[in-house]
Amino acid sequence: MALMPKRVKHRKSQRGRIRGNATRGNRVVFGEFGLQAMEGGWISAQTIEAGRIAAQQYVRGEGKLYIRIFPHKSITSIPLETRMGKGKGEPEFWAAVVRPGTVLYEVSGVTEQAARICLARLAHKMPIKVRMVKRT
Amino acid sequence: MSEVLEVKKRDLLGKLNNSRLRRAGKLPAVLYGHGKECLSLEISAENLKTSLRHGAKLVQLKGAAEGQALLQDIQWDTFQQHVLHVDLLRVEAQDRVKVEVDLQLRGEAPGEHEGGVVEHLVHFLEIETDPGHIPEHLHVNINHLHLGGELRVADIEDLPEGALVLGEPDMILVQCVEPTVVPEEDELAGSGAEPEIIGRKDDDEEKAEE
Repeated sequence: MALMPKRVKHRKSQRGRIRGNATRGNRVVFGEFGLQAMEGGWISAQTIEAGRIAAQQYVRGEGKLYIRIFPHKSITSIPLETRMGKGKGEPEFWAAVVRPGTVLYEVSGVTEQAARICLARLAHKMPIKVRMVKRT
Repeated sequence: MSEVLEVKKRDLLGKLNNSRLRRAGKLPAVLYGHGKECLSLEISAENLKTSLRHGAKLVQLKGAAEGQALLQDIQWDTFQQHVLHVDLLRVEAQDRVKVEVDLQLRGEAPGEHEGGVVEHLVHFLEIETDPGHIPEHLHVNINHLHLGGELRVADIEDLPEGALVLGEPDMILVQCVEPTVVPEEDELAGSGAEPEIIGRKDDDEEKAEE
C-alpha cells in the first residue's frame, strides 16, 4: 500500500521550490548502508513503495530495510483537455520532497556485497541520481 | 603511535577566507583546551585524510602548535565526502578524555541458523579513557549469540584497562530476535481515498449547527 498522511491540515499545497542541500536526514542512522539522493526532486508514494518491494526480497529473512522519507505533499493535476481556469486541480498523488543529500533508504544486517546489490536494484526505481553511502 | 599533523597559524578568518583555504587543499581548524588561548589553525586536507583513514583519534601537532590533541569534532559536507572544519582539543598524558568509539561485531551468531536476525542496536559507544589508550574499535563476539539472546556492555571484548563506558551500564548492544513480519495493510478503498482534513466539519454537523 502506498504511503500517505492520515490527517492533513490542507488537501492541496503549493508547488514550492527545492533549494539548497539537505542539512538534516543526510546521515545513515539506523542501518549500516544507505541510499543518498544526489539531486533534489519529488519521490511519489508509488515510487517509494516500488523501491521497497524491489529491495525487500534481498533483505528478507536476514536484514532490515528502513524507509527514511515520507510523502507529505499532495500533488494536484487538472484533467486532460480541460479549459484553463476553474481553479486548482484535484490531488493526484502524494510525494516526498527530497533535497540533495537526503538519505532515502537504509539497510542493516546484511553484508556489504548484499547491500550493494539491494541498493542497486532500488536505485533503478528512483527518478533521481542516487549513490550508496556507508555509516560514518 | 599517534599521527603527526602539521599545523600553521591562520590569520585570515571568516567564511570567505575559509572557502579560499579549502580550494587550496587546506582546512580551517581550531585548537582549544587546558585553559590556554584558542588558536585558529590551518592544516593540510591530505594530511588529515590520511590520519582519518588510519582511524586516528589522537594527533601529534607540529608547527604553530605543539603537543597532543584530540580530534574533538569533524564537520563534513552534506554528502559526507569532504571535511569542512576540525576542532582540536589539547590533551596531556594524565588527562581523561571522552571519545566516541565504533562498536563492531565479531564472528557469526548461531541464532541466525535458528531463524533469528541479529540486530546491532548500538553502533557507537562513548568511553572515558586515557589519551594513550583510545581504541580504534571495540568488538563484541557474537559466536555464542543464540535466538532470543542479547549482549550487553559487560560483553565487550577489548575494552582498554581503566576505560569506562558512559551511559547505561546494562544497555543492550546486540540482540538476536525473530524477524518481524510486517502485516500487509488493507488496500485503500480506490485511488480516491484521501486523508482526514484537520478542522473540517462533517456535512451532518454543519446542518445541525444551521
